[in-house]
Amino acid sequence: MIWENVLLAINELATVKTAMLMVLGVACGLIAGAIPGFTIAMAIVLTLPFTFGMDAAQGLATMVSVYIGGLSGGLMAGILTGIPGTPSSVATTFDGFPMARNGQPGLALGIGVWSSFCGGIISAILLMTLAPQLARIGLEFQPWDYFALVMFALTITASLAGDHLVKGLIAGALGLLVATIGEDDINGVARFNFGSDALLQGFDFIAVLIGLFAFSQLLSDVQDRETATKSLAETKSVRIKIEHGKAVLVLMKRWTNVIRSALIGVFTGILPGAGGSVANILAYDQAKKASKNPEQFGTGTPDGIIAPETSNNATEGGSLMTMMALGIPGDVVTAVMLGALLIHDVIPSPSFIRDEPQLAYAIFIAFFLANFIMLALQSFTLKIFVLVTKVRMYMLASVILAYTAIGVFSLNNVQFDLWTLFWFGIVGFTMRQLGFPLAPMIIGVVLGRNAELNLSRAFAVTTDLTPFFTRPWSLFFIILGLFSTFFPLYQKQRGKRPWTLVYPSLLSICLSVPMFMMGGAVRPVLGALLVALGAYFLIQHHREGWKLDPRASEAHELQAE
Amino acid sequence: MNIRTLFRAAIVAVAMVATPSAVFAANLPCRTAKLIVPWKPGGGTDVIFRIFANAINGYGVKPEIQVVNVSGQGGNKGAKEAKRSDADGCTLFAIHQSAVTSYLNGRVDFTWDAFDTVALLTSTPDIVGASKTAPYDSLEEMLNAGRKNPETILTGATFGSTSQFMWLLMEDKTGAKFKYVPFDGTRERMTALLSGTIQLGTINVASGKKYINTGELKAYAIAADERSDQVPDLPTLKELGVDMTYTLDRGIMAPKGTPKEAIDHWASVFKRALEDPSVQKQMKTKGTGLRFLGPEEYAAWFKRIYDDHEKVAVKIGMYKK
Repeated sequence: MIWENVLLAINELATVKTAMLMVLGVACGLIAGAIPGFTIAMAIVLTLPFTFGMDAAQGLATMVSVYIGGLSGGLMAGILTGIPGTPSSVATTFDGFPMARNGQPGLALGIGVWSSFCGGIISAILLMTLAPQLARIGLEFQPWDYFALVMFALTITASLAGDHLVKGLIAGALGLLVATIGEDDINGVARFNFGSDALLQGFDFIAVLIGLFAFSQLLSDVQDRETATKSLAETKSVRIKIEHGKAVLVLMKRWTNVIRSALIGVFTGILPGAGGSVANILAYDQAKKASKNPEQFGTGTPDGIIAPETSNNATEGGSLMTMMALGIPGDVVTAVMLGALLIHDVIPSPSFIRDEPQLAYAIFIAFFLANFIMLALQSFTLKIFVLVTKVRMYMLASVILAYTAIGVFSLNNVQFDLWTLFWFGIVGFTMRQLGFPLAPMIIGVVLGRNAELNLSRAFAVTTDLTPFFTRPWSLFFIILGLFSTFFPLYQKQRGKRPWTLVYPSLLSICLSVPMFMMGGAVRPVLGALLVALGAYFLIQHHREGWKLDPRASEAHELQAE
Repeated sequence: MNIRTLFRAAIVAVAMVATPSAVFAANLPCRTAKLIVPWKPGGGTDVIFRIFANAINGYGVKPEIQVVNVSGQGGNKGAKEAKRSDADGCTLFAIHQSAVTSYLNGRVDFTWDAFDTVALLTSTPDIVGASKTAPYDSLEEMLNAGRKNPETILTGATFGSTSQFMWLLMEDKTGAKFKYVPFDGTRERMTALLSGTIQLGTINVASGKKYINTGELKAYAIAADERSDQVPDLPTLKELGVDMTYTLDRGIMAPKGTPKEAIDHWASVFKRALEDPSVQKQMKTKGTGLRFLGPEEYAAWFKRIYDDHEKVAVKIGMYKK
């Protein structure tokens, strides 16, 4: 049955015209994604009118191609210039950029490209096999659960702040504050606008993001005559070749990271409204927590590139699942694709895959193929893109800034966003100089609105607080959030203090509670496994007589030096 | 390498190949006119006007139309932007009843008469929808519950927006009272209905049809004058004894003081698109009705709509005259 559909779908797509459209789509996406501020959503919207004249399968194949190209394009800009091309590749810059500056841009890009590919393929496989079942999870989320999820994501601030915990928290709070400026989404109440009509609009979070990250980076790059005349790779000889072979080996060695990040990506993709901008940060954080050498994160470790790039490409599969199986778009991109489906009188629903197998599988196959096209095209375009690192900084900075400004303007087509870019560039530059980490602030800006909206909804339903603890998903994320808050402390004191011995067991036993609460067939089994795992750790420690092992954490410190 | 130029060039190329049959000419001081859509790309309004713009650019009309999304503040950001624009015929503005509701709920200090009307184009009726988990099987049961336990039934609507006015009118006509949870935008409301977060919410034919047929969403009535041929089993509110309709009617306006020739030019251009069979087919599949009113009739229509809304808003104390 599946194979029959797959063959039918391939038949549908196997025309020269479709193939050309897909290659063109991936290429346009790559370029659009590489320009900071020019979002993937914008690229897809520009594609929309062209698809009116195509048949449904062809139109969607083209859109899927642009989508995948766009997500992958963001990594080129992110790694080579330190400026995330899209919000989905914010975390890529944390390690990708240092690695490129350390004289290994070829390897960094290779890892990025192959991680994108793996993430895309893993989520494509899940999409083809499990779409209807997984998509249902999206419907289990209600305002309380979304709020708890966002709160969990906010606890990441602490681990991203690293050694400057207080400065990180200040930055995070500042981000949340910025997100409240303007009319609130619920009642249209004006906040912090000081009577100004422009401030009433609020700051577009992408404009803030680009200002904080891109503009401030460019400013630091040209702060004096000496740095301004340097190029990105002045000091070391650059190997322009992308190291495919080495990158694949690196990935194979870290396959757990790849799988974990892909699953995080698919899961966040399934939830309407979460998407790639959340997934890449979550995955980066989890990779850091799981790593034996978390100190190396931020200095150019391969794991720090693998996690965000795998997860952001994997979100596509997840949001396509919800879009196709439930007709609910997870982000603007899938919203536009849904618009295109509706024009062709195709209305997604849980029975969509059964009713329209040819079209559904055409989307799956297009998704699959587009990943291969992306790999081929990226290997080619990257060669040209690497040359960017040879351009002198003052020239590069002006060109990037010009493109960035165009991109930011095209978000909402209002001038005010350009001022946002400008002022937040200066804010970001000042913060960098004073040693504040910028990532927590970005997380605050990106997630603040989401948290507020869902909290207001929860309170509109009832002012009772118990649903936060009685709803399984909400409880699940509250537990994760609590444990995540203490994780940096745990990492520091592992083996030195008695409480650290029970931490993993306690986490897995606590998490089993919401799993049992969810009911069904699969989840209580998972819950039971978690309990068993927790018990196993406890028994092991008991046998060893609760012996503390200070070496565990000392080993870290030695490696860090 | 400039992608926008590339795209634009491609659009022009497609348009030139398509049909240069009858070329309208209006003396407007621009090569491209912008059509401000004050909502996000991919939304209902956006898709409808992109279909129109696509068709119109295919006729070889000069200047061409470029859809520009200025989203935010529930449509008000785009409205302010349009109001500020030069009244030279090169800026158009796509709008529906939110021009009225945003004024009445006090979020902006101008309403529809701050613009010149060009043409009313489409009409999309609201469907009174409910979650599968809602314990009412008919409109009557639901209204009775709303009368018996006022302000308990969770209804997805953002305060003072078009998504709430249908319910306010219904409260006015039937005496039932609902409890509102902010879910603006049809898609967000659909998600909340499917997940059972809210019990009631308005949906429309295009997005709701499939779910109504499979029973995953309940639909009590359609707030139009006649039944929709896409969901022929769904009765109208009037048939069920609630004398009201609520449709979202989309049209084109221009900044105040736009020259008469320019307005007439655009009205005739959009009229032509409205009569285009391919546009009609695409609108039909979206469950969107077509209804053309020229500049004067559209102004009269807006006046009437404004009065209806104002009455409700004054009654519930949202707006003071």
